[in-house]
Amino acid sequence: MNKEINQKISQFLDDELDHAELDNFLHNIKKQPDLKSKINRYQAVTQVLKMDQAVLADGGFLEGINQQLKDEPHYFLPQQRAEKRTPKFWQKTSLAIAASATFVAIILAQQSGVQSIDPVQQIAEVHKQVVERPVQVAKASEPTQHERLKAYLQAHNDDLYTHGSSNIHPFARVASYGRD
Amino acid sequence: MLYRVFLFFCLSITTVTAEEVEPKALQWLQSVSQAMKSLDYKGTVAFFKNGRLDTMKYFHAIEAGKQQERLLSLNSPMREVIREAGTVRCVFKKSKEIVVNHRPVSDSFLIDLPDDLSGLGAAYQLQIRDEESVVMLPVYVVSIVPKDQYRYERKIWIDKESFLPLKTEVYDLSGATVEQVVFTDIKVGEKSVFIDVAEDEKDAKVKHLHKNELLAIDQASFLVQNLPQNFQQVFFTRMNTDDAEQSVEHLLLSDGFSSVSVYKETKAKDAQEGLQTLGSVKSFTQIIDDHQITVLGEVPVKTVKFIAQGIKLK
Repeated sequence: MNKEINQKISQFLDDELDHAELDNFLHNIKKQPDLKSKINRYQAVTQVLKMDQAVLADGGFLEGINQQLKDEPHYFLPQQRAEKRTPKFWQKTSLAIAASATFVAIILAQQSGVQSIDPVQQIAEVHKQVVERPVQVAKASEPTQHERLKAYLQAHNDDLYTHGSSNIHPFARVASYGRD
Repeated sequence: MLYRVFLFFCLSITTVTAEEVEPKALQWLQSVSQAMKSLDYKGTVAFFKNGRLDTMKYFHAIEAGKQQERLLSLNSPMREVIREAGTVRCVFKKSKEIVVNHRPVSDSFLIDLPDDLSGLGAAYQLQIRDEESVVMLPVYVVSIVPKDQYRYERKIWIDKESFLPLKTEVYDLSGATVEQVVFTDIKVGEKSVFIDVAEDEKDAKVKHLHKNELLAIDQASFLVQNLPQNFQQVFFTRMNTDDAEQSVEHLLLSDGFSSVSVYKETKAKDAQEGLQTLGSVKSFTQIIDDHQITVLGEVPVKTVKFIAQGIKLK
């Protein structure tokens, strides 16, 4: 039994389980907290073996991803469309594992000093450059070309009232001719 | 020789037919114009334009010689549009907003007809089509075919009894339908309630369009040198914008069926020259010195371009 479970864990980590097996395996994990922590440990070991560095991912992080997948809303679309557009459960799980691995990799890279510049700081620098670059901005009160055309159109064409809706309200906001 | 005689015979028949058809169609259009102003009628009208269909309840009421045209939307946004004494007032029920246009370009929500139909022949040819039925009523069908490419073709389905236009269509130069207005049911002769529009203005946000006085056309700071046949200058006014320093000159041109507006204002920073399309409306902007001139209307591209390129500053 143990051998079989170990084999399943191994297949799970290598993403070799088919849909039905994965479903069954995840169902079993839910029932056995020990098995869940064992998988977490194995995942960490796998990462260590791959990257030669040890870091333990926060168990809560993986738990959070699993919870988010569980809370994913269901879209009641026609079956065919849903099949095409919505990733299957095993795909979601693979993505979750990939996300976990990426998270671990980022932490490892930061610790080993591979990336010496803090990415957040880098983004802040770029943002600062963009903000500091002089930009010619039109006066707030000056309508744009598009707004101007819409205002012209409303003044010209009163059948907008019959064809409605979406066009009229923006026009009313953009232009207020004949203001006292 | 025999061929020439036959050709002459054919041409004679064609000429006679054209001469006979046109006065009859012209007479029908005059009856349409009269019926639209003098009858009480109501029904449901479908407006189709730019791929969008809007169905509205329609009422035309006459009281003490005054006429009131009223539209009630059947779908969101819920709105009531009233045309009375040359003013169009649109009330948005949910937002309690009212837009009042004091100088509407058209005279009716159904169809625009020239005040003087006698000059129509210079720009349009009237053709009588096969008789059809609209909302189970027998109708005459008249095509108003432009003689040049500066305007669109129109077709009117006229109720044989009341002479009301039960259906109208506008076609672009390729023959595609630009606009369609059709009654899906109609009752003629039934009195409709004359709505008191002032009541609606309580507790509402009111926006006014074209509230300014009309000015003499020669007060415009520009000249329109290119005018297609039958287009005339209808009115000239100055509109105030949100930017208090700016005012926009607005000149309306029309041939009775099609109308074109010319706007002139100080050149904006983002002003773009050239052609722009807003649904079925075409506009052409050109910059002259520090001013931008925009010509727009539901007419072919050629028309807005032709008019815009003939504008000169005084």
